Amino acid sequence: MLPVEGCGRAAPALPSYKQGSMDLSDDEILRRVQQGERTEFLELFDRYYPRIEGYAQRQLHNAEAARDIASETFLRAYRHVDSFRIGEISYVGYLFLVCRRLILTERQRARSSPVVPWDPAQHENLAEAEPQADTAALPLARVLHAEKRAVVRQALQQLPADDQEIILLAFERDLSRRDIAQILDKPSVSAVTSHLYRAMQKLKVVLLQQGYFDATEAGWK
Amino acid sequence: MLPHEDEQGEGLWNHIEDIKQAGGPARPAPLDTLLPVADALHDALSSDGYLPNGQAQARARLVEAIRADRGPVAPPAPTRVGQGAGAAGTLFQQHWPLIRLLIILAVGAITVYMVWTAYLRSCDHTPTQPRRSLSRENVSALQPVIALQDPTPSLQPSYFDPTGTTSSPQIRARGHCLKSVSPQD
Repeated sequence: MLPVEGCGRAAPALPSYKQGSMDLSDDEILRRVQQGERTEFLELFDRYYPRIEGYAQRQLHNAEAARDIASETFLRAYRHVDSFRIGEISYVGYLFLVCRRLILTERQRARSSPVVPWDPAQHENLAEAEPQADTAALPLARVLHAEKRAVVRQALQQLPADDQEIILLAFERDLSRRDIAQILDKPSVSAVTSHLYRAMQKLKVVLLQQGYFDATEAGWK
Repeated sequence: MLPHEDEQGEGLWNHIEDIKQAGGPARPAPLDTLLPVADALHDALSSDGYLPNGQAQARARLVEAIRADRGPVAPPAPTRVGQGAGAAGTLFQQHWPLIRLLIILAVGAITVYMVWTAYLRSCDHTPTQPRRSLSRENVSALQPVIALQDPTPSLQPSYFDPTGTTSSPQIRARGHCLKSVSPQD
């Protein structure tokens, strides 16, 4: 886990960024930050923090580590905001890039396998987190729906780590294939497309094995 | 990737983009492609129970970092004077420690220069005749007296000034200046 500095201490309130910042694009906010209006960076934080922490949680399956990594992602991004060159990569893509590197470092530190093994206990916890999973109070259709979602998530976790990564990034809003190529250090956009296609094919095979789809009906057999 | 896979890959990406935009599948996907997998995946990921819960702590850390970076943060200016003025202000703020050091060094240098100038001026104001008459013997004779830093030089005017014409403060000044005269001169 990354060190947490100052957690538990209530930081004095800063003047919040201008209300008009909410309408500005990321690039416009970054220009302001680079020109000295540092508090504007908080707008970028508010925009993207939930997604960065969610991404880290999906990758690490550890809420505490994900929180630390998401926090560290924004601290590092802030420290290097002056050297960020606008236009090379979208800022949300850059944040995912920083976050991914921290995740890789965390994995190396923890000496864990890149492929996260399926943890049935964690799976149960996730299912419990869903309101639809309250089997006593919901109709059968909704329970089945929740179970199908759990099956998909389980199938995703059976894929190799790089396949999981590209699938998770592909389903992130605002990330273009160019961004994903830079995050995953791919040579081109078409490399992203082909990798994603292969990863999805693998996922389809796992889902078929688990009986998620009616293979005969779908013509996949 | 085979050419048909290339097309299917493009189709898959476009479908994922549509799902992301619409928040779910806009139209039924053909079952013989990967599109239903994408639909199922989007459905599963959008309800996977991972909710961010460290935002307040992370924001506090970031606020601290911004404070440490900038010191007391002033509220943003209501109007921007211009990019040039903003950049100059930023440059000044970024290099403020260096600028402060340079100012201190400059003040120190000016002070040393003024003291040194005053010292030389005090030497120049002493009568020239006794100074001209300083021989090596006189200088060596004065050395012990200078070293002693006699607090009452006025009691020995004849020793410092054989002519007896100079006043006591002038003698003191001369004696001070003589410190810089080397016996080899």
